[in-house]
Amino acid sequence: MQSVEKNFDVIVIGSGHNGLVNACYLQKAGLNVLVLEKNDWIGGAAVSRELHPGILYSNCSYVCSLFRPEIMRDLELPKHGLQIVAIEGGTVFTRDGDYLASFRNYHAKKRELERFSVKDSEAYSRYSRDILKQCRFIQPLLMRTAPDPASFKFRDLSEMLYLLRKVNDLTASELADTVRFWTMSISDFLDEYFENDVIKASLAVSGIIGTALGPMSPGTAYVLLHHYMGEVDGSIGAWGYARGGMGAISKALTSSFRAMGGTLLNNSEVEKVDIRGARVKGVILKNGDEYLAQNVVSNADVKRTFLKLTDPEHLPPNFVKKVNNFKIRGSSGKVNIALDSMPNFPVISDNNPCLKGDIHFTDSIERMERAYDDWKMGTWSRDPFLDMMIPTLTDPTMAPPGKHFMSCFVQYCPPKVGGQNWTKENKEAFGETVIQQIADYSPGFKDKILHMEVRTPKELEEEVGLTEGNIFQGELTFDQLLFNRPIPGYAQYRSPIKGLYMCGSSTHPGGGVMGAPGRNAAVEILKDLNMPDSDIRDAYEVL
Amino acid sequence: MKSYDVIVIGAGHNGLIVASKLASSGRKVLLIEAGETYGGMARSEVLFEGFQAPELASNAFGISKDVVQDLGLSKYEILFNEDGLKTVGLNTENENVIFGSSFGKSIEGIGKEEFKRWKELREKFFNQSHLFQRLASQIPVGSNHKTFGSKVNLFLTAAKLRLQGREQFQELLRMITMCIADLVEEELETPSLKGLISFDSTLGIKLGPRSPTSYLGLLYKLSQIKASYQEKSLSIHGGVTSFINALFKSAEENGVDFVFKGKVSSIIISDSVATGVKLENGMEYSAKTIVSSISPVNTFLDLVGAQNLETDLTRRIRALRYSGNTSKLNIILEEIPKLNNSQNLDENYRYVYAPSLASVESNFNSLKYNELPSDPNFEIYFNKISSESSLNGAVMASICIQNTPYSLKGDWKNSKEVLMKKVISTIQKLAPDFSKGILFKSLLLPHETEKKYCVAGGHWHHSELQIDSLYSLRPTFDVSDYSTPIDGLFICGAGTHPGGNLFGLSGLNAAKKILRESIK
Repeated sequence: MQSVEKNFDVIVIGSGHNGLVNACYLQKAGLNVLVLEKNDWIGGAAVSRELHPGILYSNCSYVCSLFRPEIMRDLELPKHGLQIVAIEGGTVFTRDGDYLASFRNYHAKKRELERFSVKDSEAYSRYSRDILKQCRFIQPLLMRTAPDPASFKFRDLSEMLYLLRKVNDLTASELADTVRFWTMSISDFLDEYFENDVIKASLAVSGIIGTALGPMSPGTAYVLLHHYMGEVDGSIGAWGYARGGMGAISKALTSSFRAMGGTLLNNSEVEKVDIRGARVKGVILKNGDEYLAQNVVSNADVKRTFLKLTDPEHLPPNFVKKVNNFKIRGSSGKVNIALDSMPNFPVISDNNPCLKGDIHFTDSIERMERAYDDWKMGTWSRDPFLDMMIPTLTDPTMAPPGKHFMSCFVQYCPPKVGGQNWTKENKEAFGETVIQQIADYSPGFKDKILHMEVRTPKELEEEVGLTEGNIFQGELTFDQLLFNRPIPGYAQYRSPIKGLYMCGSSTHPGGGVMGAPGRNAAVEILKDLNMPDSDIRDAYEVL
Repeated sequence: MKSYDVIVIGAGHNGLIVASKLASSGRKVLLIEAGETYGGMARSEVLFEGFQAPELASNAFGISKDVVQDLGLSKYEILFNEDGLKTVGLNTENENVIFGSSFGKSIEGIGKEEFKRWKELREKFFNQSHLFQRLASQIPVGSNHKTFGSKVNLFLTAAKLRLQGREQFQELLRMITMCIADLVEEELETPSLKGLISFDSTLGIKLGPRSPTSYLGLLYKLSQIKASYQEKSLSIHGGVTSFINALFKSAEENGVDFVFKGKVSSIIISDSVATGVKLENGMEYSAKTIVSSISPVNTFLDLVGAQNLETDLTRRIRALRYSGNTSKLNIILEEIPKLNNSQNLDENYRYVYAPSLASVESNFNSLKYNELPSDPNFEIYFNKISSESSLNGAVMASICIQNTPYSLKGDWKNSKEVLMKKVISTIQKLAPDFSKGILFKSLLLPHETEKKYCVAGGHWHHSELQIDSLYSLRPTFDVSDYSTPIDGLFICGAGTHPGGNLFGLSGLNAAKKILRESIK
């Protein structure tokens, strides 16, 4: 093993994208940073791995939109190889043998909507205008530390004032729409615009992805916003593929980090954060190695950080109770497939650009909601909702010509089946449910499968370290957003222990491959160290 | 054409309150009601062999103290249950919990530790309901700028909540949008207790215990308990009728004129000013001020008409969620039945069948898809009949069935009987002799309520009481301060803030607003 010095200014636990963003900013500010990763690969849930010879899998996260462009520029990620390619379209296959396509081109999209409902196609203009307004409202908040409304400190009061001013800038009708939008269910929200069930189902998708709620649960309209507030090339709400798979983001971050002189160690699982006298001293690894630092930043979720990596004796009991009550619910699984050739969908021609985007088979809100009902009963959905992508139609670097990688995000999938741990049989049955749904629309699909990886919340927790396999490191409900995320009073990336920080998606502004939590945490750490944060740029003005 | 200062449409409790209050200021008031008598959804109907009782509203959680004091109702006889209302959470295992008055001040049937946790939780709930209680008697901050006082009050309310302490304030901000299931599961263990609390949080609201924001339903209810006579509730025996009668007498004494069996067909509007109303029978009345206590949907879409409204308001009113989700089953029994454990069912108790959180959630699942629940949850009041009629000694069971869809998949023809049978067979399991003594039964479904009581969707609260339709957002933000874009037209029904049950503050707030704004 290479010899590494044992003394650092900052240790970051976990090389997820937020950990890397945080490490990059701190290293850039002149600190000596060490990143410790338990796996032999880098990137947490933003990875590409060659699980079948010649074929790269984005086997956790699979598309990118939320990653903040300010961070990409600050850390010069394009120079380190990052390229995001916008997605062309998407489609929903319906049970009656039709399909509803969507395209990036606004007019093409409206024409396609017209095929299902002229009224809805007209309503779509109003809908996209209203959503865009909400995106503009929320975007500047992503790169600011949330104020503590219960505090009387100057910084909190002035940040509260900033929020109040922002609210005051809205007209009464905009304010009413905003409050309603942040609290409604996506189903009720869409009912106010659209009449056609297929159209509603295709739009409701973003309201449920990654969350343990159904489309009829209040709060899911916000989840939709969470998926819309990103951008690709300045086009708000657009999604894209990272060329080379999602691991390309982690690779570029690592390359940027190393170029600045940072140290990253694989196969170094942290056992405990070393705390002496209410202050952090460093970390102790599973293999017994010790590294020293005055500051430790955890990229792990809040439960893992405070219930596993920290001894509860160092924490106030009330804090531990609140960490226990933090809702991190496993609700999704993943089936990753290597294909011998492009699957055929008889109702659609093979070169239709809408196949290059997200493909769904759930054509009504009711089916989505029923899938959720199964999850509530403690089992995976019998008729699951799939968010299926074939990135290799857009990105030729992930598979040999003709062969394809297919990513299927599956909802809903519980962390335990009927209260029992996942068994091998259950896992196979879950995979079969997914494959069967695709095969129903694509004859001969099963014969094209070269290799298949089924991931339930159990695997996501074991391999990546996400508690219950929750992709957002905590539910995105209002009781866990902004100043409530992860825990009221601890929403500014600090913990009750001096020198111990959080930078994962458990913190504001939450999940998705966004990088904002890692960046915001860096700002707070530099503040505590009395160091300038002039290298960290503010959010771009929203025009 | 007869002319008045004020015309009030609808003689429900809010209509009566507005009419009485405005008449007491010296205005000449006419109250027009479509039905044969006053009381709206709380009015008495002849149910069986001359026996009269409220068909829908069998009991009310709270009537506002402010209303009683403001209108001086205490000089009339309002029947209270001085001991407060106790609730029994029933289940088929006979492990019933008895929930003391004032929402579980004491509980029988749970362990000491559990009660200690409940006590803390209950205190938290009540503390937080203070927010609603304070806001309930205020005119919401509205879209016009005449609401400075309300803004100050909003700020003071926030400040007061903060002064309760940092920890409490943080808990409020965290809990307020949560689902009731998470909150009870964080603290409690007893299934029937969790079931009972979930039931009470979601009764009459289209949410399940696992839906985020369902805790608000409970806060709302508690704030009503706090704003009413905490320890005592309206008596099960004629309490509702005595309250409605008191309101009627008060209106009558203040000189309100009444027209019954007069269904308003339209509000007469010229140049965006309301000048009178037209009845279905062709009669017309004029007034400078028209107050509608009926549902906002009926008011704006039927009586005003889209041609007199801005498109945006029409769209918002159309988008209201106002499909009723509760049905009412009235049964008359020869005598009060006995429970399995040979205890008599007590006529001073409320009985709730919601054996567990999962049961309440699965009931809601059915409602989502407009299906009948497989094991319906419900609450029952027993009311001894002591009239001189042949029914003397018999008992009326008023059963409120949660999660009954407005538009059922399939049709109601056979399903109505099925729903009744399901409920009766559940009661049968709890009280084996129940069905032997049934003299009469009738079920009123949401779409039947709509027709009979002239309320769109048959919704008890006129529109959903959910987070996106409370305070300034009730019924929609542009008409939340009781005034409307039509000059001289006001709204005051349950569809306005704070709405709900027999609370009465919608009417009182609207009356205050009208007194402030309109010249005699």
